[in-house]
Amino acid sequence: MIILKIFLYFISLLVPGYLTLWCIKTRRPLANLLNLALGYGLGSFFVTLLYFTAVFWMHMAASLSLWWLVCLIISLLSGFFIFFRHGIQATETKNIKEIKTTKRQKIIILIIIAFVVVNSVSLISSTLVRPVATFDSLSMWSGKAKTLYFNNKLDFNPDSQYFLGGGGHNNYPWQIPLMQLGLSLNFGGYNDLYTNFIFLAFFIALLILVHSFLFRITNFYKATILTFFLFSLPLVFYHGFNSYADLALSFYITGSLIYLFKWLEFKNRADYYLSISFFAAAFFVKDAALLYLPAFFAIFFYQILKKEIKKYECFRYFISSFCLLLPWIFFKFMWNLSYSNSGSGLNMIFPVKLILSFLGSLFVSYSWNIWIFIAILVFIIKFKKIINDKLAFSAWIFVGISIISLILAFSFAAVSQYAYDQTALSRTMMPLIISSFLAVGFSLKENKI
Amino acid sequence: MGLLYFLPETISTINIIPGYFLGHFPMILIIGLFLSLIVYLCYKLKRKKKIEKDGDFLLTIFFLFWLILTAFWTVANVLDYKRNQVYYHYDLPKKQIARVCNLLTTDDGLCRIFSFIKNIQAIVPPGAIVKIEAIDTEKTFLEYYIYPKYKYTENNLEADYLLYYPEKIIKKNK
Repeated sequence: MIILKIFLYFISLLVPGYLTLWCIKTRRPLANLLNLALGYGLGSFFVTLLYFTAVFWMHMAASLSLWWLVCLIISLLSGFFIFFRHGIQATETKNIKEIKTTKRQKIIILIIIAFVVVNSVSLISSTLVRPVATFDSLSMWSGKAKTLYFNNKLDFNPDSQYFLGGGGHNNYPWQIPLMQLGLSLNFGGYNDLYTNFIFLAFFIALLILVHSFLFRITNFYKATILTFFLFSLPLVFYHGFNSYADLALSFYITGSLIYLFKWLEFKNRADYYLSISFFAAAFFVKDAALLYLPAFFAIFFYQILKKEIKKYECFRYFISSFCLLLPWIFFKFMWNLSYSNSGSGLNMIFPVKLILSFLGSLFVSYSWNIWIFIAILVFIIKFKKIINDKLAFSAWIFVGISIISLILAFSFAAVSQYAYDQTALSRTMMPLIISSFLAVGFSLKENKI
Repeated sequence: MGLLYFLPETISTINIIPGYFLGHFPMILIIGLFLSLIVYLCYKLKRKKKIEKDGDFLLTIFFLFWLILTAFWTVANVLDYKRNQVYYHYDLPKKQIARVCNLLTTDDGLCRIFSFIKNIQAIVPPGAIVKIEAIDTEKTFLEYYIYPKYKYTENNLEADYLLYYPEKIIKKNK
């Protein structure tokens, strides 16, 4: 029965997400792992956004029937569009080479499978026995879900301890708490153990998304090794069963980047819209998405400079994302909720301590294994290729600008203490590290996307 | 931490995974620099063209170096899995206690909040409004676990009971 309830919850996200995806791009095989991953991402975003609108704007009770009504509305709307207008033909890439591997490569792939199986058992076991217990989960992500679940309605009284969900930061976005609320509503009782499956699903979806992309631009062997590196990044793996927003944020930023690159290559509108949707979703997951905004701007700026795209396409990209997020942005505006995490004010101390903290995370901690060395080596060895390939260069621009953006944000904003004490720096870097997988993939590229 | 002293839940944190050390030297740095040296030697000595053209060869080298620490990490995960088996049949509140107590072995204060919650439940009637006086982390944990049985407030006048932690004092306020 428990499995059925959890299954039904995921169906409630996958069906609207899948139909929305079908709206955007047509004529693709339905039984496709990548489409499932994309459907999960899109469904989670659109369902929680509409649910947010109903509960936060229309002051409706946060109930199970409302949850399913929202799913039904999105599914029907998508179905309507699918029925009455042709979707956009998705990018179908040129023939992907058949999976050909040498004997040595086959042995390595077998080793990878063995490692993945053993560690996956451990991951699933952790998902099944470890309820949320880490600070930010209790104070925000799961805390808000729990409050809303038992209060039934959002508290709009500024004097109340439960004002706008209560918790540590009532300015934080709601996708993650609402997803947890949705699972508990479907489950029929607040449960902070089974919510782990939400994050496990994001972890699997991220791996599918990255493998699928790398497979298209490189080959099966390279894609498998790189995806294995991603799978066994200890910090990302640990977030695979913990109720934090960083993994979901990484999923959306990565998805947005992948489809942005695809659009830049083929100029297909379906990829453009997918990228916009994922980009907007990132902001409904965590405000830290803002740190990656300059890197997105930089890619557009570079592509405009190279005359690959037009200015209005860049403008439309950000405006469309903004429009998708209107319910959340207006809500923030209306309640005067800031983007800052710890008040305003600049910390103008020269960031030596911060740089050391940054280097500590990259080169001393085990959070990323030896990935940073691998990325640097690939960058040096393939430098000539990178500067001659506009997409590879764009991917590395994203990585570079994100690093600068993170350092500046942690140096000059009042959040620098979270970098010094290593309570936020490494996990805030997660989307950056994962985007570097795309950059490395481009550097080892064999095919068009 | 030492190579064989790694169990994910007892040492890992959600914020950063501490590094392995060989003496005073971080293993990541040692392995990473050694990898760079090997790639440099291959590049300079005889396989320059192969490395430039064939990413598969390069990735195979990376993979072999990657496995060094991943092997230890996998052993740690297997040990972790074995330890998890005890908890499968626990109910949710027991799992919560087990996780908090295992997660933060260095901070007994958080583990002990559950015995305090038991005391609260024995004394304070359900539905009462409480004010918690504790440091930030412990306060957050207490607030999360006593809700919805008790609502919490910051306002002294509103509170039916005042709870002090780690002193474990429960005081009637109204």
